[in-house]
Amino acid sequence: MFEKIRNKYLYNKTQIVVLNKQGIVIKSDDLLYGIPKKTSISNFHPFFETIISLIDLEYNEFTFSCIHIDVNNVKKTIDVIFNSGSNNENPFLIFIDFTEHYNNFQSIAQEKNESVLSFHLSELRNQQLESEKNFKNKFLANVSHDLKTPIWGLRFFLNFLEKTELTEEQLDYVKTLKDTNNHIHHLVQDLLDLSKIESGQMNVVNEKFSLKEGITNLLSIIKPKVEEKKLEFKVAIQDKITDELIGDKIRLNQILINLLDNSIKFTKKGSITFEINVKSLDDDFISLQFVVKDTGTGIAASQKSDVFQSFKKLHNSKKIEGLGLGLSIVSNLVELMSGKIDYQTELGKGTSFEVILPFEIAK
Amino acid sequence: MNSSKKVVLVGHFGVGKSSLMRRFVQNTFSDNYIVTIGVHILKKEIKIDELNLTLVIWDIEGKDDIQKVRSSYLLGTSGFIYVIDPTRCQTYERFNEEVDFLKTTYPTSKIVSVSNKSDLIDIDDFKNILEQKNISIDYFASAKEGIEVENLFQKIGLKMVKDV
Repeated sequence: MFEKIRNKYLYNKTQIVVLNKQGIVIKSDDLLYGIPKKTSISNFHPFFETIISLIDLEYNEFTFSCIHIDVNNVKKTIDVIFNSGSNNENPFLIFIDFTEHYNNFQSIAQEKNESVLSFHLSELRNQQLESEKNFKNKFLANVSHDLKTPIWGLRFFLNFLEKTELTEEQLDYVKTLKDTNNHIHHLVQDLLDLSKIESGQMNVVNEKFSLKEGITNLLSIIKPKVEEKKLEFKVAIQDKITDELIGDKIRLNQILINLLDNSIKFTKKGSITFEINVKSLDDDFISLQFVVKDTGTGIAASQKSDVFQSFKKLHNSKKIEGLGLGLSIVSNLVELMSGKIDYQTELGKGTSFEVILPFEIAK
Repeated sequence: MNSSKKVVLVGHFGVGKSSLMRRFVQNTFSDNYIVTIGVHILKKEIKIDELNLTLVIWDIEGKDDIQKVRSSYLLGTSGFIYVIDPTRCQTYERFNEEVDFLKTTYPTSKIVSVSNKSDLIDIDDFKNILEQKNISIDYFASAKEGIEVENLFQKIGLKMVKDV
């Protein structure tokens, strides 16, 4: 009974190899590997080159676990017991096949090590991204700051120049210079804002303001731009919106100007619609929905994921100026003000941005 | 003249010991990480002056502590190649301690140290980090790019043969 079980389960799991003192194979039962006789065991696999040097040692026994031996298409993972022999006994080797056991162990180790390595890799990537981001923000902040001084100097002297005696042609040149200088100023301001937002230095100021007054000022800036492009401007402000609110009027203005400027920029014909609606209201808080809708170029599906990314221009046309920062700044400001931004777009038909912002009602 | 020496690659898991061995012996590289358990053994002959030296290279499973390595694996070792990964400080934090252990326990064995994965880092920056930690590494290699791999195996061969 024992012999039957042993033969079935253990017989083909072991091999015995007898060597002489020079490491030549004398006998082998070849149950796992076919090992040529009368040749050095070290020719069979490099593992045994080290074993041969142990034959000279006094009687000793060594166990080598988990040795991968792949010879003549027989690939096994075995434990090797080496007995260095004695005066009366030849050295011998016993191989025990643990391939299945070690394969299971390998799978577990693979999973464990991979998770450790992937954790370290993501940690490393995060560090690199953080350091690149810090470098970018520092660079942007320094460059923008340094550029502001000459821009203000230029503006100051252009205002002076404008008041001197100039011909019509010269006045035209001065106006072009002033427009260009203003444009550079806006670009630099965007860079500065972005670096402040990304480095966490942009703060929202909560103070009492009149929504009506803010919107009137906003429309007075936007209307001439719409008229210049001969677009229709539709304004729909819901009746009886609480006027006295607490919030950051400058950032609100910045968000709306950016969205409206964008719409005007990307619309050749048709209309721009600006709406303000009450989304929710209670005794202390009001949530307002601002909608800016245009009949412009729309955004391609392939670029939808880039809409709020900095330095991603959604149109390659050289006629459309900018650094691709406007919508990135808007989405960051909306987030800072605890609001939400979303948009609907159809290529060639237009885009509609919706911003929802909460405000405290001033008492 | 012919001779044969046993060289063992040691270091933490995932530092690229198997990749270095395969790049040296088979001139291959794979991005797929396969954990080594136990030991894989390959050999390659190099030439040191007139001597044909066979390096029998033992690629053993990675351990975060050299003292946890099965002592039978290290029997009869003539040379150690200690491998670190510059992207994981855990793999070289105890470098000096581990090398001291090898020197004390295997006083006749030679040691060469190597920072693998050098294609992933700025080597000058990493050298500064090592200098601050008082760690001296012999080679800045990349098994992926095949940089310095031949040199480091040649170096361990030379050290073992010339006893330097």
